[in-house]
Amino acid sequence: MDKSEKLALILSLLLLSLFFGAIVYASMARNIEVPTCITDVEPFLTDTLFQTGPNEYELQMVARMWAFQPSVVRLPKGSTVNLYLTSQDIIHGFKVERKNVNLMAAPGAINYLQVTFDEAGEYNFACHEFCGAAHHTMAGRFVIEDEINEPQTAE
Amino acid sequence: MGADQNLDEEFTPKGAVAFFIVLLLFFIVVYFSIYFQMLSWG
Repeated sequence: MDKSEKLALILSLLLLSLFFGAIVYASMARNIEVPTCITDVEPFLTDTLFQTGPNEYELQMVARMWAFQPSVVRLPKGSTVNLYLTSQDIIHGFKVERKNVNLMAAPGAINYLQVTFDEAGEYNFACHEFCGAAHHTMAGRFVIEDEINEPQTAE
Repeated sequence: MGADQNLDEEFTPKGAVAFFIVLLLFFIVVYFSIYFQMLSWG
């Protein structure tokens, strides 16, 4: 093998190792999760939000043509949300701005991801999988407030 | 003929190597700019 080819090969492998190591670091040291598909639970048909611990909530969200239920979720700052997402009809997407939340909502299955809202503000979410005529209207938001008595959801 | 052979033996693709290194640096910048952006999102 030519010296230059060997150099290119070694540099490429080093780069791939660097990229892979960065992913492992994010996963292990920074505790960043990847979406998980839950297949052993019957998908729910209605949305629910309840508290499971101090500053920890479980949100069961339903996607359908062309809305999310709930479409507005009010939570206190610092909340950790265990998000379970399913669809009533066809495949939808779910993307929250400024957060690493990027899920598919699939009928007959539940997708799970944990997300923490450390800063107050509004985090819009939208369907990012084309799902029909009114796909562009399929959106909602998380409203994270400094002081809130009780978490709320709205259609 | 002999002179041509010597040229072939000493040839190093400096331009290609330089281009390749610039390409890798470009990949590193693109990858890590997105990587750190996503890390900051938590």
